[in-house]
Amino acid sequence: MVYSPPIALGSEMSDIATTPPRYTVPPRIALLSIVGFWAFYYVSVTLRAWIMDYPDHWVMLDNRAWVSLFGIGFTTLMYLALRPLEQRSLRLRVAAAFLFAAVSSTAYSTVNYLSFYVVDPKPEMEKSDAEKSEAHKAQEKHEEKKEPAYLIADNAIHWYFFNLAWAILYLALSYAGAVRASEREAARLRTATQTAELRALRYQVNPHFLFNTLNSISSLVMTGRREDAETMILNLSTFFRTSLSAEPTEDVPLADEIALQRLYLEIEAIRFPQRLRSAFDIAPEAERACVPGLLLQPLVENAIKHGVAPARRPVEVLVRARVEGATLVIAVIDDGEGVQGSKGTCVGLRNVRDRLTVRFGDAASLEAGPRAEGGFTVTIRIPVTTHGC
Amino acid sequence: MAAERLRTLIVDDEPLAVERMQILCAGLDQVDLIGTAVDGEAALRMIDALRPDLVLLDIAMPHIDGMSVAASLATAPHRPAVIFCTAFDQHAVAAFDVAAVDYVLKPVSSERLARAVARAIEAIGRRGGEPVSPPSRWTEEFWVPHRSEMIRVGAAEIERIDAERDYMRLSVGGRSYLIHQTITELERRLDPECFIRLHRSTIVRRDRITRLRHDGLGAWYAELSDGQSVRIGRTYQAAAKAILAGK
Repeated sequence: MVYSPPIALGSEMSDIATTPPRYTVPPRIALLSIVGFWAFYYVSVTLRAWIMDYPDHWVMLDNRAWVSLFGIGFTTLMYLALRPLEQRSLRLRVAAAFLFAAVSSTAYSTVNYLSFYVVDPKPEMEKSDAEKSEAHKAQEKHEEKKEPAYLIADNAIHWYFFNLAWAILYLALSYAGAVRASEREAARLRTATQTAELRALRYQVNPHFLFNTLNSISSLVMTGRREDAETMILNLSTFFRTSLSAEPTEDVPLADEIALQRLYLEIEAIRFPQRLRSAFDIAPEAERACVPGLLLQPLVENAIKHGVAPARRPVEVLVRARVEGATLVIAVIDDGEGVQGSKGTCVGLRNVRDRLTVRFGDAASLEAGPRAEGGFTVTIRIPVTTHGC
Repeated sequence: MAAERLRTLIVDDEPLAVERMQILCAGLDQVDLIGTAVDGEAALRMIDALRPDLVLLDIAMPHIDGMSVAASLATAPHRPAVIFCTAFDQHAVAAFDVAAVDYVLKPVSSERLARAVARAIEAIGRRGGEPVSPPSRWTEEFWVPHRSEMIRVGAAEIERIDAERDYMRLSVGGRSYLIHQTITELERRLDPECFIRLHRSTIVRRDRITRLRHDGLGAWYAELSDGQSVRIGRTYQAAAKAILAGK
């Protein structure tokens, strides 16, 4: 075997093949943002009380902590109510955010009321009027007149914006998450498309070659040339095993690709004993360079088809490889009849060019054309890499 | 029967392929091998000089390929029977234009070659030495891939043709065959006395149409003798109604 056995498309494929996340905002992020919101509230109000030196603010700490925990609970419930709507229209989700924020803030406000006025009234409430500031007195007076329902509703309006702010933050995160997910999906599709393109561009076994070779083998058998027939069968099976098992996205060392082309030319030399001569001129430093598998096959095949097959004299097919700086230069040259007309744009050549573009972008090039001294040359330039093959 | 031995020329550019065919021919009593040619030009020269009855003709060859050889034989005074031998069926479409008695795929078995030679004998017998009528300008036969060989379908046997992407499905007596060709090209090659195009993707043999039906909304249908109906495309309506008038 010349080539390494095929490997299932590597780890870079499994990354992009994972299923998209179930929620646009990961639950952990959502919960952290809720806790963060309430922690900010808790810290800022505590700071305010401390800086402005509100009376008894230390006593209020645990009370405030309790209602904040309830706040976290209600906001979480709001989050759980909003989450199933992720796939719905943005308009509906905004309307739901407005509505759920109202419910959540009312619930919170109720707990707040119960906590500060009913379950555990703070000393502040019991202090004598004399100790309170004028403003406090006025407020207290004001509040005393009000029903609990009024107090709850009044407070709920303040908290409404707090809850709404989180709901809108959630929508923003969700929207950003959806955008990221669709970008990931688009990237996955791009990669999948590219792989599919490479698959389509990979060398297709040429049935004409196969059947002609079988015909030659049959002839060798009929004329009793058993050893020649045996050699040809082994060459043919190695050639097909290698070309059929090569992964289109996988690179191989140039030395392996050259070995395969030698095999191919040996088979063709038996078909065209008088007409085909082959030569290889491969610089040692080029042999370890990586090339896409079967890259040269269409070029060598073209040299046979357009250079050797139409000729009635011996034609040489030369494969040459050099490293020039950071560029690997590979040429397939024949001194055959040359290609008449516009056959230079034939399918094989276009496939190789497309394959290079998909794989290397502008870093690779392919030039093809008739030679001044007769025949045809195809020159490929690709960046030299020696890793990954 | 020595009288029916066919003087045969082998034409192939691959030495091993020539050898193989020589060995196969040596096993056939009806074949009298008179020579081999290794390219199209040599083939034409040898046909002219040796006047063979049968040519076993490879298609892919340098300079003048097998199709061109057969095409120039079609107008030659001496016209041998031609059996195409090719490794792959990609040339079958081009074989429309040239009459061949058979079309075999390499590597051909000796039984299959014997069958092809028998066909050649039959064809030559039918012709009976009379001068050959000039070839029709319409395609009279198609070689279509079927299982692992090529079979001949006479144009007159085709009942309908339906386009399927790049391929045309030829329906013949309950069977169908796919060939790689455009419908426009087929329409051009088929005798318009026998075939009519009814739709962008359908051609039918005229005698298959039993009547035309109008559905009241401007759409016309051709009813065929097998009970199927084919919608007639707008651009083909005038031609289709002309048949109705003719009947």
